[in-house]
Amino acid sequence: MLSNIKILPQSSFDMNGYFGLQDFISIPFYNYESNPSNYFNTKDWGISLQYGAEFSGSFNSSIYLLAISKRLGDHSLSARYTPGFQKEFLFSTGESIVVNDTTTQSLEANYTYKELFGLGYSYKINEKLSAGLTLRFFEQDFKQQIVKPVFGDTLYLVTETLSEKLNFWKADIGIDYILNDHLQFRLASINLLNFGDDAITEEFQGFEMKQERGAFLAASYFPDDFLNLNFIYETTNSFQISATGNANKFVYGLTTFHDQYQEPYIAGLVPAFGYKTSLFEILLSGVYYFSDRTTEADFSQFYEEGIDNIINNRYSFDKIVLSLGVNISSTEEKKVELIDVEIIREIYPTFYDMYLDKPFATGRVVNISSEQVKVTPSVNIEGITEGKIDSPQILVEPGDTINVPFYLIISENLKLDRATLSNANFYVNVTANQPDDQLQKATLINSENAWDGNVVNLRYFISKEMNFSMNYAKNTFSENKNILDSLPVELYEFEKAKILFNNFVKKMTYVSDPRASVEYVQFPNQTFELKGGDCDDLSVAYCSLLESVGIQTALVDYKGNEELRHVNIMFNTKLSPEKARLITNNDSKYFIRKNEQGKDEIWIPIETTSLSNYNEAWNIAAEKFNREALNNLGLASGKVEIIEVY
Amino acid sequence: MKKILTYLIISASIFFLISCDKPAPTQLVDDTNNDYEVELLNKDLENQYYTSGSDTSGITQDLTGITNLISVSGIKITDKLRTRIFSLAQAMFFDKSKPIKYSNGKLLSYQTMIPGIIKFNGTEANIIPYRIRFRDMGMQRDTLVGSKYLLYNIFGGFPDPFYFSYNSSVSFEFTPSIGGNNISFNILTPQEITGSVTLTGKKTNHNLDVELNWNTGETKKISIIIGLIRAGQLSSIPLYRFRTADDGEMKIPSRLLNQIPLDRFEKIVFTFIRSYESYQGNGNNKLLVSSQSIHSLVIEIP
Repeated sequence: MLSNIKILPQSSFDMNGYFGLQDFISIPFYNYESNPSNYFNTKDWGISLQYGAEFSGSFNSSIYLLAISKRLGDHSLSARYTPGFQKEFLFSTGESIVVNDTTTQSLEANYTYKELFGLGYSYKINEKLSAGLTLRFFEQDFKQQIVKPVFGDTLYLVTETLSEKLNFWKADIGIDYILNDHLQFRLASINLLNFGDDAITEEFQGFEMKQERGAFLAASYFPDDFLNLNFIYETTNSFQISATGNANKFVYGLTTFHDQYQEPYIAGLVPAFGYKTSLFEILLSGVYYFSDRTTEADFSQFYEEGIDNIINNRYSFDKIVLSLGVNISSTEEKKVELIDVEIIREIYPTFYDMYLDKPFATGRVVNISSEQVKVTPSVNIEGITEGKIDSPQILVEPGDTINVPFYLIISENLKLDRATLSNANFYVNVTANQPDDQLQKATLINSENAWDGNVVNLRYFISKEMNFSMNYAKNTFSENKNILDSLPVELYEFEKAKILFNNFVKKMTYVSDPRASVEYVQFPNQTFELKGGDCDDLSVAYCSLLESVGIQTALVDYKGNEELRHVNIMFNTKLSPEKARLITNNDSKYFIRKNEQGKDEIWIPIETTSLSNYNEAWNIAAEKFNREALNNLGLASGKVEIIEVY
Repeated sequence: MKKILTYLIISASIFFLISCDKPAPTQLVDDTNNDYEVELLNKDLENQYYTSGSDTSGITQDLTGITNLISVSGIKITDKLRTRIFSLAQAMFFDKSKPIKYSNGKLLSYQTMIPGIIKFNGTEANIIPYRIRFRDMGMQRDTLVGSKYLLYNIFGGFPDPFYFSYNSSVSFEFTPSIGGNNISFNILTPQEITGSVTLTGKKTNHNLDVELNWNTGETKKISIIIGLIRAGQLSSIPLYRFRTADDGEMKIPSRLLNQIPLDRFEKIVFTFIRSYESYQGNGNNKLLVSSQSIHSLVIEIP
């Protein structure tokens, strides 16, 4: 009988008004009506509750919505339960029965339309584009009294209640595009997919929700935080216009809407005002209709025009809605951003503790929060570090951009026989939980034999294989036990060095560095294994032998120019200047240096590339030192530098 | 975090407890005039005689005698061959001190009386015996309840020269036999009613579907009586009376026809009645004055 009723279950209208794709408040996103693409700005978990009341003459309060959302990386999931999304119509069927000859009983019908729950999913394709879908479950509960003849011995007319529950699902998709900070767009379907029950009972046919397909396009213009303008146009020719914004921790909005199925042309207003902290959000909104709303209406208009939306139709009442949102996040709100990282120092794995004092990279960090924060920079290099290495905290004022250093600790046991490219992950943390921001950069890790040319750093090679050197020295001393046993104590250091050197040079030949582009330094065991090396290698190996038996050494860096640069060593004989005659009568062959206690001690230089004998190596080194360090004022000018190994 | 969740759950629970309302319903008021009222006229399908106040001629009679009756009718009866036209005027006056009862003591009617001379359109009405037939304790009974006034015209003036004019009036005159003043007035008559029936489906399939149409008139409501006729019989058993808006159309709920044993019946009768009714007097002297345009269609049940 009634087959043309137009009851559309959805449009883009929701009870909070339209706020666009803003980042400030998340409550409006729980409304699948205007957010069929399930766009969310929550960082982890979000919970929302919409509680409100209708002014229908009486005060009917109900929970409209209870929803939860979860962010998993680029995926967002949500679910909502909507007990208050329902509209009930009570009406006379037009049928009445005469009972007891005089009394007339009118037959009633009760049709209830409900949206019970919904599910949403979206995927953030990139910073600008995301897409998603929502799935919603509806229930239609129809009840109608009818009169029916019952024939037995006699004929009776009885009233009976027909009832039928019809369920259906509907799915919609949407795409959100953020063109830039000022312009955003949303395109979404209305009733794209619908599947479920059809009415079997003749009396209910035609009263089912109509599922006419449509779409809506939303555009938002965000000139600044204080004022945002939004517009939604539906293919049903309905539209919404809203002005929203936020200031400090407050949010506000005013949405006005034209509904194709309601009068007047601008059917009503949705004002909203809210407050937000890092944990919770609260939004008080209302729906005010410009037309009068009463609890009674003409059936003929309902029959001819129907309704277009469960929560917003010509029979809806003015509402006030209190929405609460809680953002529970194991990922704290982002307070700083890491803009860029610059690698300022190449990584040499052998210099294992050098980067504790000297940062290998600096990052530019901006404090985007409104409060002073302590930033902890940290880095993790795949295959190089054991977990994240934190650098000291740095205080950053709100809005400031500063450079932060990234320090590094390299495992001493790292073995890298060739240079590799590894990903360095840089983090900046404000709290101890999740990093606020991170950035990845490819970083060159040199081989373990690589050296940066800085003589100071040869000490890492000297100390690297100390066990080998110690064993080698002990074996050598064992072979020369008789000599050592007959020596005066004062000459122990001198003679030990001599024995070691004479043994050392017998096995070595000078070989220049085979690697042209990168300085290459052998560890002592490699030098012995290869039976030779250049000045760096031989100096490192001999220093290592001396240091392994407790003889204090220093490297002498003859800088000259890059091509003529040279390194030899000197060591501490522990002799006082008064006892210099025990080793030489030539004053120019030794040098006096103060020890830590301020006492003078005799140091003698050794040219490790002079592979003839100890005395010759001593003479050559002394002559070179006198000439370049003293006579040519190399020490004073910095062209010659004495570098303590320890 | 635990604390927050606890507060949240407690708050939500409180909200649930205090929020047991649901959004306010809307009451739709029927302004379509598509409503109707249905009354079961006869509980016993074996009883072809009316006991509930209507017969398929459409004449409304209160047999319990609560009201006295003056009635004028223009009647058309259409079957598959032709339409016959009748004019009828009658009057009955009941003596409330002389009840007629069923065997079980229930009131059936009152005996009638003849208080004087009655004329319709100037023609004196005949006084004839008034018998009613009814079913009592499973038996058919025929009872004389007295006399009534009657004029009728079947074949253009035969037997009585009484003609019912639609949308006009019939004059009524009463001369009491036991003294007192004469009474006379005009009885307004309604517009002629002409109905049509679209009957589809089959009774064996229990899918009969009936749509009724008629010429609309100025009365607010009309009555439609549905009756059934057994094979080989002329009289019908009135079954339902519908009262609906005089808007020219009505669909009979199919369940009202298909859920009764139609296989016992050969024909179905639809009687459209447009009437004016008014009451005069009160108590034992209460008088119903009725004028009716009646069209009955007799159709074989498919």
